[in-house]
Amino acid sequence: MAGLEVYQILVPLIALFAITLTLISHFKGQNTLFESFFWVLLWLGIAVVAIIPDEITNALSHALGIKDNVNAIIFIGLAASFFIHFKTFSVIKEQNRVITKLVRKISLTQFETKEKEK
Amino acid sequence: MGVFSGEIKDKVLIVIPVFNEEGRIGRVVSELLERGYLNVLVVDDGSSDNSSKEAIDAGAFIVRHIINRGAGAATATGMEIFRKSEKFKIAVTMDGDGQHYTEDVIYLMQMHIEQGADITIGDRFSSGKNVIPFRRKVYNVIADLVTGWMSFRMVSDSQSGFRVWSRKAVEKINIEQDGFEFCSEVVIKAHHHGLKISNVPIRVKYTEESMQKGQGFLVGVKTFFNLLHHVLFKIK
Repeated sequence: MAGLEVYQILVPLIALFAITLTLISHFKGQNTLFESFFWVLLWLGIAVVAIIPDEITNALSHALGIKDNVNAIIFIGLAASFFIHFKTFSVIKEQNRVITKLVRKISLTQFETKEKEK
Repeated sequence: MGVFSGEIKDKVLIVIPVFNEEGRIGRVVSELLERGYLNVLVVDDGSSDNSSKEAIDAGAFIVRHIINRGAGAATATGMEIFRKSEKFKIAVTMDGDGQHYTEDVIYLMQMHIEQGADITIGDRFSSGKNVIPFRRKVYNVIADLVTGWMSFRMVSDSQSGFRVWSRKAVEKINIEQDGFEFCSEVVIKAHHHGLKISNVPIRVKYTEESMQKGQGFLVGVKTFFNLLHHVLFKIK
């Protein structure tokens, strides 16, 4: 492992930190199994690419049919980013829906109580 | 204009979603009650001013959201109350800032019944007589194009808040969008359910206060993405 670049040490350390946080969240019951699995896999993938970049990126570019391995990584990064954004958007929408449902339930209960008192 | 008796007006629920309309909502409610509408429901969407008190003093029924959830959420709460009472046959939604003329309610209902519509939209643009700010005109053209594209039809004034609903329309359409995007959502869902939409010209008066509210460019962008998400992933 002689001649390691700085990022090849830094990125796996960040990934290790992120995986630890994910596992802590999981055991606190804050993540579903799928979410924890997804994030652990994602950070493991990033760490592996940082440790052996050429082998992985060449294999990916070959598998995707994209000539340049850097382009393959950019393509995968954009796709992953889009997926995460979409997922976040969907989660926020769902949270908003639940809040509105709760607010409506409270307001209707108060309304019915007041109407009965009249 | 006076073809609706008090008995018929008792079957109408007027739903007014309101957010910080102190100084305006009381006047709107009073006018409606003077015109013989017995059931005026103000949905106070978490106002921080005296809108609720003003509406109560004027004689409206009040249902209050504890926090602000948006015009769509407030309208949906009003429609929930409509659904719970079999007595109501027609729902009317209108804005609480006084931009709509209360005397147009009866005209809109007459046209609704005559044309056998499920939803009648009070159309601000078709008469060409209303003085509407340019910015709002542009926004509405874009909103109509997007709504039309998503419902595969030409639509006109899809963003108008002045509407008459049949009981069938209220039962069929479940408003899920919290913000102003519910205006387009209702039109899209009405077409999806095969409901008849009718447009009837109305008059409007814009004030500086009413211009500060409503839909701007950023709301438009948010509306577009929310509707796209809704059309792609929610409508079955």
